Amino acid sequence: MTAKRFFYTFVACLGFFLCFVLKAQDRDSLETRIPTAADLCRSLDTLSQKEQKRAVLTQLQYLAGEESVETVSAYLSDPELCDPAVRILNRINSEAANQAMLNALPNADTTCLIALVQGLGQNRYSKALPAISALAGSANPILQKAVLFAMSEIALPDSEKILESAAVKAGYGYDRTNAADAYFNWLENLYNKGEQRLVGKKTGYLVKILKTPQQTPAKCFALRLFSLASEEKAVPEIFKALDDKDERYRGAALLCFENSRSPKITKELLKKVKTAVPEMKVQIIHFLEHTNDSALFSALLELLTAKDESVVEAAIEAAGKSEKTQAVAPIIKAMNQVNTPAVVKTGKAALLSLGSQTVVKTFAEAVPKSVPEVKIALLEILAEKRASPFSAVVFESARNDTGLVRKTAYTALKNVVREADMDTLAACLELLSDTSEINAVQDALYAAIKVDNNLDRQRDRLLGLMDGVERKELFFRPLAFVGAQSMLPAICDSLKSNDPAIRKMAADALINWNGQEVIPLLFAMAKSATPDTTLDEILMSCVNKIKDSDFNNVQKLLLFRKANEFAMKSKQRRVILEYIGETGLYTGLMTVVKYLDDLSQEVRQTALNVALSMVFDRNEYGDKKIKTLLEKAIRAATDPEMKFRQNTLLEFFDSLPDDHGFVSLLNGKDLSGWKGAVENPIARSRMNPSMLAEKQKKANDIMYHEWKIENGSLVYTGLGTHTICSEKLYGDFELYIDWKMTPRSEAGIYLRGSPQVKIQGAASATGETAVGSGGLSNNKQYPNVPLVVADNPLNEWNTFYIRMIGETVTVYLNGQLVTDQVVMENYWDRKQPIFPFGQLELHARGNRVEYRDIYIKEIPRTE
Amino acid sequence: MNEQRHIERRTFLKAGLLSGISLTIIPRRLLGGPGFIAPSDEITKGVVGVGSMGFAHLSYIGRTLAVCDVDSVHLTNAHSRCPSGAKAYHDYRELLLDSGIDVVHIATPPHWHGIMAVDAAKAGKDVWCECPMTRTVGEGIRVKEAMARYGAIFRLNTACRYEGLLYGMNIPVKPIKKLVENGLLGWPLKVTINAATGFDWKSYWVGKTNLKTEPVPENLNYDLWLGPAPYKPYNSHRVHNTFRGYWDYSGGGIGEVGQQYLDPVQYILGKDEDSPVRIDVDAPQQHWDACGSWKRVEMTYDDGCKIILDGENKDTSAAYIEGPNGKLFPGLRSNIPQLDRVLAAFPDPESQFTDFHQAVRNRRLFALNERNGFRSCTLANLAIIAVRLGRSLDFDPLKLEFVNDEAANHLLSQPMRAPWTI
Repeated sequence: MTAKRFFYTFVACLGFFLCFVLKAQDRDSLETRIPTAADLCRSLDTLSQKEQKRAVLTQLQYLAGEESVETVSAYLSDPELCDPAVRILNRINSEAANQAMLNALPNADTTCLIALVQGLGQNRYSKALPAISALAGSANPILQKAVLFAMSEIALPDSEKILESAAVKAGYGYDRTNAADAYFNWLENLYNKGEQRLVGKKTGYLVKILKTPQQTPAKCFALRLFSLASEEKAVPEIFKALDDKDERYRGAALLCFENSRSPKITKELLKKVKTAVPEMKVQIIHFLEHTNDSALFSALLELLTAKDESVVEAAIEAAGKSEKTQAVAPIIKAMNQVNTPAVVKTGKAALLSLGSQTVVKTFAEAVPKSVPEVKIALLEILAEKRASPFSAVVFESARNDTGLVRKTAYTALKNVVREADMDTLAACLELLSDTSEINAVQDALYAAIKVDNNLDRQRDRLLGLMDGVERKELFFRPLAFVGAQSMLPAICDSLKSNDPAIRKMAADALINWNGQEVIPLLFAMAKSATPDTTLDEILMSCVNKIKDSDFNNVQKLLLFRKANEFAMKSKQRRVILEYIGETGLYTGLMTVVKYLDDLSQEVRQTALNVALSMVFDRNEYGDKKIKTLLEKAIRAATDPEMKFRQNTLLEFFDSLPDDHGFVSLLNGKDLSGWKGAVENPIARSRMNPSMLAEKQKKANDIMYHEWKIENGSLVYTGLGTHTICSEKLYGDFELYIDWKMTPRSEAGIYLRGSPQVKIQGAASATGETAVGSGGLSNNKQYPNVPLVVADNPLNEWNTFYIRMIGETVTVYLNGQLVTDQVVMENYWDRKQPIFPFGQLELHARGNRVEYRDIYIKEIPRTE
Repeated sequence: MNEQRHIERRTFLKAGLLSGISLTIIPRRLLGGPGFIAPSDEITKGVVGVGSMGFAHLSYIGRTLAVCDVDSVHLTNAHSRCPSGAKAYHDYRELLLDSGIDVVHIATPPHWHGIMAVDAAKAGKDVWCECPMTRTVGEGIRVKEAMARYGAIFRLNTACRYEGLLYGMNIPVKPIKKLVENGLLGWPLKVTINAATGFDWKSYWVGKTNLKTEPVPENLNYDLWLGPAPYKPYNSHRVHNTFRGYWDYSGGGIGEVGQQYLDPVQYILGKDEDSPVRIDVDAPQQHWDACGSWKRVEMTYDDGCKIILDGENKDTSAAYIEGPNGKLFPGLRSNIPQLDRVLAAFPDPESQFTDFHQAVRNRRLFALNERNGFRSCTLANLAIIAVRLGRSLDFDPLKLEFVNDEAANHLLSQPMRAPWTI
């Protein structure tokens, strides 16, 4: 095997090797490790290119053991390979490995030197210290950094002079050689080795000499290490630091006490609090949070009355975390005294975290006695706590207060009312004139009733209350929440009222209606709405009700598409497209892709995301046309998330097959692919070609007269002889087709040139003897009526899904099964079975009929 | 001349221009007077890594004084969006020497987060860092140490534990925390993170294998882009957004969103100072360079609490949180009736401190800082290690190392390419 082939084979198996080794149960066992690492080492010799060697060395890191040291060491002098080699020796970290690195120092060029020094430092190889120290003082800052770092990690007292002078030279501040940090690292490592005295001495000295602002990080470090090394002796210095003008240094001082909290320290800090500047008071208070010390609590209570706002705020926050409910009243008092937005906000959070049921009374009692800003906070708290025993307080405020407080009280009502308050609510409803207040009371009424889970009882109580009130429309909204169907006629009537206020309340009720029966009414309202915010509310309510309804996906899609026709704003379109995506249906995808180049960026982005997720969920949706459309949109996308994924997505589409199966029979522009009807299949098969051609031409002329394309749909205009046929013949297939009927129209779908899957007109689809569409109506022997009536009302769209395999036909109408694998008889010759192939025909007569979204997927027959 | 040699020469030439002496840094916050920041004195920031995520940082609070990027095209582009007078740096170490900057925003790929945060603290700056906090557990420990050592304030850029809605759960974290804190679901708890509970594991963040070497673009300093990461020949898929697909720089979907999804869970469970003791995994063999897909990771704490990362979205009817006494689904749906009313009776969870500039001024821990952030990042990193090794692991939360597993421990702290150290 040549070296190259060995390498490539090896690299291909590398992952496997890795897996094998690392998954092995006894990883430390030499038997599993040596052979593999040895293979790698051997391969190194046979490889010629540095690239390849580097790849092998990088992998060797995970596998190498003592036995690899010699091979790896050979690369320590190669500037391009020394780095991975060093890291291998780093990992092995044996005497031999470290010695090898040390031995390589004298002959190393700068690059290798840096790697070696760093490696020796990381392994803390003390024998290397003399050689490394000799390199100190280099003009190359990168090398100097590595040298100082290594000396700091090896951490021997011998390095004091070099490290200290380098740090001094750097002014103990941040520089490219990290000299200061190396010195500190050295000190900390010495401390960890037990050199308390030396470290304490050095850090104590630093704390005294470091003065300038740029030396603050160093001073912070020194103080902390000083406190660790010298313990008790450092405490006075720490307390002195608490008075420093630099808040960072003060913070560091407090941190020193973090792990040594004690009642003594707390006492000293509380003493300090009395004399410290406000900023320091705040820092100490935060530090002492959670300290379970009664002295602290009393101190906090005192600090709540401080003059400085920031101190009061800090004290409130800390008191809020004390879990002591005795803090509640003092906090409220402080909020009232200082009442700035920040203090009130902090106070509210503190009260909520102290707010168990026992203190809610205190909140309620404080409301009348508080200033407006605090009243607002307390009312909001009462609402959040659902403090129904104290609803009287909220009522009081709603009645007597003004402005923002009044508004807050009204908003709070729905969260605090009880059943007993219902009559009060009903009574005050009539006295109000402000719309938002009326709505708040209506919401409260509903909330009061909701306690009783029974919808019928809720409705009856409301109706009872409504009786006692003159302006019945005030009850529309609460009745809507309850979905009281008996009220619908009255509400619809009120939509036409002369009084705009009544019209608004009726519309509002329908928009907030609890129940899907209101969907047709919302569509009706949408038709007559002006393109202002009202349409937005109506439309959003409508689509959300469709989404939450119990209709199946097919029906939901039809309704979403209807709503889509009303959408005028990007936001509305976006929501509808997302909901369409959730149906997961092919026709839905076809609707969504129409918006890939919409004018609005928001809509484009949504369309792309929805389309992508639909195709990801159902790979079979990804055909050539979709691929092209989506690729174009992906490339044109500007949002960051899409840009990240561009390459991955384009690759995904590359991997999809070109042909998925569903083909559209409507190009949206003209009748290509369609022709007129000529007699029947048997008659046509007996005609001579020229006769057939002549008749076909005449039939086509008639077709162009009777059938048009309007807005992408195929429309039968209601004149003449009624059937349009596909040019192509079909055998076994799946078919989607939408249809819409008008009064006095009739239609059907002919399969393989034969009648038919029946589409009923109005007469037969409604009423007691309703039959419904989707049956094979020309059958005599086999079933010829649909299993259920699944038709949508006249003038609304319907969706057929038709599958024909061999002689049997299955039909779903609007998602419901109406014909279940029924044999389709041959109308033209009942003695034979249905033709194996034939054209698809759309039949219509009487009045306007529309067809749209015709997709057919041929199913090849396996003979 | 081969590529690495070329880079090395450039670095060496540049090195000659630098002196090792520190420059005077007087923190802006002290310029206004003895130890006090005048209220009108706005806190300033410098953003490192402005190719994509960093861009958003330009509009965060704080006046932008500088941007930094190793790609001159990204740098110029971002610089043009900055207020006038802002500087453009190529090397973050120079940005750190800029005395006017108070806070350093780190929006580079994850393999740089640890070093930059530590260096920023050394330079007396505070840090606002992107998720994941660090690429490895070892770097996270060093970041914690550095913040304490130098008294620096640190925050992460994921906010769910204290504000906003929790992704597809569509509710804030507060009621969930309340629910758990007051024992309404019982204990121990099981949390499931998948599409059904409202989370997307971004399984498309996978890398490519057999990358061909490409020429490094003129505008990119690849050596500086790599920094501590091992040297591997340049291919455009390694950098600029798609770096997320490589272990050396990130960790696939778990690297990208792991901490963002796991941090709120950690907060809810009250485990800000704890880590799991057992990690189980179901994942195909992983490539040594490119991140691949994974199926499932289960992390179990000592007390029996479990977090399930359901990458293949198998548990379609799982609750977000489930305990012996109840379940919680998206939208605060639960089998506990009238849950919002029940919750109202209990006190709120302890307030969290969420004003970052106040934290900087008062030198106090921000709500999501280097300590609790370290633990939630560790959750993500433990999951990544388990996926890479493809086997169950036992972990010691106090010692922060795996039990009897040398190979796993090697992944906790991975050696850095010289001359980068942390």
